[in-house]
Amino acid sequence: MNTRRRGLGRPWPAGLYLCLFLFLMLLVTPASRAATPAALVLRSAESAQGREDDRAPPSGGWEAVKLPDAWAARWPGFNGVVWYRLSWEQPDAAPTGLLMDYLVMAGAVYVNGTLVSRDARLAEPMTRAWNTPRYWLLAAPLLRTGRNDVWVRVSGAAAHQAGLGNFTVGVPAEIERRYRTARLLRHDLQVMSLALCATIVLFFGALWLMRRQATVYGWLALTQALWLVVGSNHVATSPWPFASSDGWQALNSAALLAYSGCFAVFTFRFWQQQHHRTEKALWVIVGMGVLALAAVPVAQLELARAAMALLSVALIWTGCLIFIIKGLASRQTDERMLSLCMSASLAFSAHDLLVFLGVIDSNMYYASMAASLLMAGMAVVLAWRFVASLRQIESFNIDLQATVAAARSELAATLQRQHALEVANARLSERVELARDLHDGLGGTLLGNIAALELQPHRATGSTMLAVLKGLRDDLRLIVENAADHDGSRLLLEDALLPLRRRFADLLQASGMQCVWPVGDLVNVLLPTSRTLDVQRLLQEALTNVLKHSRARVVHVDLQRHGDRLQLRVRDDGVGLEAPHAAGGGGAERQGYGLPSMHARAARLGATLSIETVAGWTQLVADIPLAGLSGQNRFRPAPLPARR
Amino acid sequence: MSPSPAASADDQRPALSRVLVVEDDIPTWHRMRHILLACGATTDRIYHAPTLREAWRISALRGLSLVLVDVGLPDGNGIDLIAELHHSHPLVPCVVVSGWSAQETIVAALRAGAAGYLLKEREDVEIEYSLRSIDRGGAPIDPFVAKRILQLVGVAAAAAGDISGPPLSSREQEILKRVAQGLSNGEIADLLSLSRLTVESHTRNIYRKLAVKSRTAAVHHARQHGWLT
Repeated sequence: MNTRRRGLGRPWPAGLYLCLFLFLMLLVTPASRAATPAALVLRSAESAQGREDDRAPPSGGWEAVKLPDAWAARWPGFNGVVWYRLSWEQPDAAPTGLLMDYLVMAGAVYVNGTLVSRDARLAEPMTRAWNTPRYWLLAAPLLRTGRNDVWVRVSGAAAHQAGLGNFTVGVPAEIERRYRTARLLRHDLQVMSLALCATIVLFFGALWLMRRQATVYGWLALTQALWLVVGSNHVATSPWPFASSDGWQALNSAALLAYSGCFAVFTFRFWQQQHHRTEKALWVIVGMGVLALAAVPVAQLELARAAMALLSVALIWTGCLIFIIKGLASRQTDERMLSLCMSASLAFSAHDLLVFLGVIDSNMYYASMAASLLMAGMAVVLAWRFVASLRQIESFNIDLQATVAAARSELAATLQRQHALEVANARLSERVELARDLHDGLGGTLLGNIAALELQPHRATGSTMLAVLKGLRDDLRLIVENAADHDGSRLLLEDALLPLRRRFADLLQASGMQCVWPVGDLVNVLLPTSRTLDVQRLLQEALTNVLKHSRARVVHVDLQRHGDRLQLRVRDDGVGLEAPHAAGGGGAERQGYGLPSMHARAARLGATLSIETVAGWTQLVADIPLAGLSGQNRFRPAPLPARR
Repeated sequence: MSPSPAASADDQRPALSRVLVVEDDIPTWHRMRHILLACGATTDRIYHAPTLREAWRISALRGLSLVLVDVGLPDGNGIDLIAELHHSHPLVPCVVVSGWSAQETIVAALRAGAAGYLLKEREDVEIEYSLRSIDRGGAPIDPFVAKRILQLVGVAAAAAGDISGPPLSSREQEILKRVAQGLSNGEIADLLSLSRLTVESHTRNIYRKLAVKSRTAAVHHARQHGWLT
């Protein structure tokens, strides 16, 4: 049968367990051979060729053989039925245990002429019973005092190492114990090994699917998937899906060959090596081997399989050796662990090869156990690398946090600097703006008054000076109010006039005058601050005049926009002006110092100012252009660029 | 300027019966005295305190009916005086008489319990008008103050507990909005079908609600908002 399995296996977690296990295994077979009072190993038998339709052993042609026996050495190329005859002496008819290690491939067993066991199919596709130990508890009626005979009918092919394993008779308890051990080794552990193998395939296969660049895991999964095919030989009891054992055996050998090739590639990948030519050559050899196994005639199959087995083992050993050598040189614990597991695998596969070649007289293979070892090794490797990655990520996170914190504080500092700069700029610009407002507003009044007083020094009386100073005070207050009320260079005229409106409306009403001042006619009239100031002052002086001197009953205030012009109208039914346009003329009650000042402001605004008295109504009308007047403001040195 | 022709002669209003003027500038004191007399106060019932200390002394002795307080005094801040007086004599109206004060100072004084404010740079006739309003139980209020109070109310709505006192009624808020729009008290009275007197007493109530309860809280509040330095 088959194949050997070599060793990579999969493991059990603890190396210690493995060593113990190995020791136990090596112990088992020899122990069973050592005759003890409780158990007798039957080593001698006779065998004879039979026919398919035999129901009983043939009468002639018997040859003495030693168990375990493979008839290929005696009858090369014989395929068919062979009968074996064994006997032992029974001192009494007490119940006795009988253990058969195996028979190859299928067969039936008779005790004292009574059939005690028969495999399901004795012809192709015949039952694969090669790895199935049997145990019988022989009851007294079946036994004879003295000589007892066992007949075994075996169907098989020389190419498949057909033959018969050991028989042991003895005290039932002892024999059953040995049976359990054999069952454990030949079946249970194999099943478990296959399960582990499937686990590796699923786990590492999924890992590789989700992370294709980790090819080492992909190769591991593929290797183990092939091993599933190889290892299933130990537990399969029928050649399905093949019609004969030959097909199954060929597949088994081919799977082993492919496995060994994949293992070699896995080895390269694990050590991060790329040997393109070597790998190509490898796959050519593997492919040719598989083809040869498929094409070779049945007669040469055994030879071909032996050759392929040798080739496979050579490949696997090469891989293992690479692992061991590299692992010994490695400083990483995970790689060392894996190397250790590999060397154990090497030992297993050496044993299995000797079994396969018949050097060791057994058909017990340990390769599946080695798979457990590989599993342990890979588990360590994975855990090791996983933890290493985690540490890397953690330290990366710490570094990242530090970097982020540094960047953040740097950014905060930059923003703070920027903010401070902006605040400083804003303050500077506010100061510049206020300075300009003062210059344009107060400066205009101041220079106008200075010029007037220089022309007519005799007018600098106390009351004139008082009026000048009050005018300056009013300018200053409006400038401050405007500065507090807005933060841009322009102000909605409507908003700027609100406080003025409220104050004078209340004052006029308190003085018994009716004030008619519609709100909301000025939609979106935006003026530079200094021009707003002039409009405010114009209006304020007009209203102050009305308040103080008109003795009016009704006052109409009216501001309207006509296209790009603004019309300001103040109308009252008071005493009127006697000399409306005589700027310097004395005497007029309402004239005071307000009129020249109003004219000066109107001039600065580029406005036409008219004051007329008609039919009991005194009307002041200022027609103010809304745009393009900066050049006419003689106190504005030059238009400043837009602020902000 | 000459007194308003409309100055009525009904003197001896309660608020003008005993007036203390806390003012360190002598010409201003004389001006205020002049205006008070024009409003109907009598000479021997107008007291002058040039310092905070003197103001304490007088306020402790006399049963005052009105206190006019300048903000910047030689020995301290007039707002502190207002807060203290508001605490100890809540019924005596204290009115700020401010020079070129920032709007923030005025609002801080109102928060300390001031019943009104007078700006020195205004015409005499304006100050007289305001004093008469105070005398009638009203209070002067400018559009910028109205806007600021509306902002404070909005802030209080967002973060309850910041503002002390009861919330403004909807009528009071309506009046503030109209003031901020530049309407005169007379116009507001017409618009809301109230008397002008009622509108003025509403503004006084608004100030009353604005005042924080304790003096400490007022000063703390003012300092927190940078109104006092």
